[in-house]
Amino acid sequence: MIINFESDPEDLRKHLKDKYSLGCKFEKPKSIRSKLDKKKDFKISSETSISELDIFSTDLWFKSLTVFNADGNKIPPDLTLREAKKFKIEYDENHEFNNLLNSLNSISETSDYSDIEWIKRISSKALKISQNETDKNKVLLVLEKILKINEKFLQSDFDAILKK
Amino acid sequence: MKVTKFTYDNPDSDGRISLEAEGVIENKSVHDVEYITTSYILVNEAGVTVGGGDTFHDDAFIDSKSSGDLSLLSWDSVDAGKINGSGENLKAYFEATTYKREFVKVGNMDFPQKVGDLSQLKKVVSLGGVADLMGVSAYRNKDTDEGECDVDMQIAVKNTSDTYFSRVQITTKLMDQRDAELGNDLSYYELPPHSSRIFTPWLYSLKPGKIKNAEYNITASVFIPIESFTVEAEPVKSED
Repeated sequence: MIINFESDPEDLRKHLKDKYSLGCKFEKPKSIRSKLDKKKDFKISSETSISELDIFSTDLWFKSLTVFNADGNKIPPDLTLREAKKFKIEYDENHEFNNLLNSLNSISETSDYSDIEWIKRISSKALKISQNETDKNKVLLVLEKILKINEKFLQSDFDAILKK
Repeated sequence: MKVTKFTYDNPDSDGRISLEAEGVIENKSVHDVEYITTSYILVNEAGVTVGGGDTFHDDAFIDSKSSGDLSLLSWDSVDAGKINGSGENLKAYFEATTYKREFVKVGNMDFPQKVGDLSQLKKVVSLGGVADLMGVSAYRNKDTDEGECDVDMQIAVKNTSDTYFSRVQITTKLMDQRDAELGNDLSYYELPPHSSRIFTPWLYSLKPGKIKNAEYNITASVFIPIESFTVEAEPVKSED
């Protein structure tokens, strides 16, 4: 499909739906742009990325453009339309554990963090739902790191987590 | 909410300073978080706004009584001239709101088989006790010049609460008599307190020959706020 300043945005919507099973939401600007703003033709193919489409269409028509899949999830801008067609967010059984571990890892990067109770809650839950020794060890490694760099996190806090 | 990373780079060749921020949110509630909105304001040494932005995280999922990390600021930059040449003169105010999802099966409804037919779902459906879906109508107009079915479908959702919903979502699927999907539409809008919104699902490329005994399947979701957070942070120089 080729779009330019004379194209109808609704045709873009139909094209994305028919060819890539994608929905889109756009907010039109209040003022009509001058024809001096007109750009060259833009060819949309399966290798066009969402960010390329976004940049061209917001220059041409919209204040903003959001492209989403059949579940309503926003498509990451770096994906091509071909990739976007298959894009689906799925949470595996380890999602909560990974979420907790990532949170703990992020917090461990900040040496001045004072909400020790939060660290205790995250790590206790991560240990509780960990499925195997490997997962448990991942949590313990982060806790050891926090113990080393965060003065407010004491050995007694570490021991209390292990006792739970 | 805790900001776990907030960094700035040196000015690039255009004199712009790139910024990046991440944070962790704790969900203390008994509900799973399925949607998060975030926003930020950047101020200079004088406390004056020099930038900002907002986004929604529809890929978020934080279990009840659990924590999750998220990006608070990415792909943004500030002109060095606005902040006296360095990111160290910058401060940010980050806001986030977590939402639970109320999912409702609205029901099934016949596809209008002939031009002039009106199909109706004659019921008011409560969406989590905070909004009402005021029935569904589908009126069959004459076919388009391309020979495709043209159906004017209308669904109203009324916010009966004092709460601002960042997202109300309607999904419409059209299934044929063998339960194969002929088309679908997903639409979403914000919905302020005590206001309503008309959804007009549009299914493309429906040929009259394919819609015999077809049926709509309609579902709705309202994303209800759980908790809001505000955090101030000052960036540190990126190590990259």
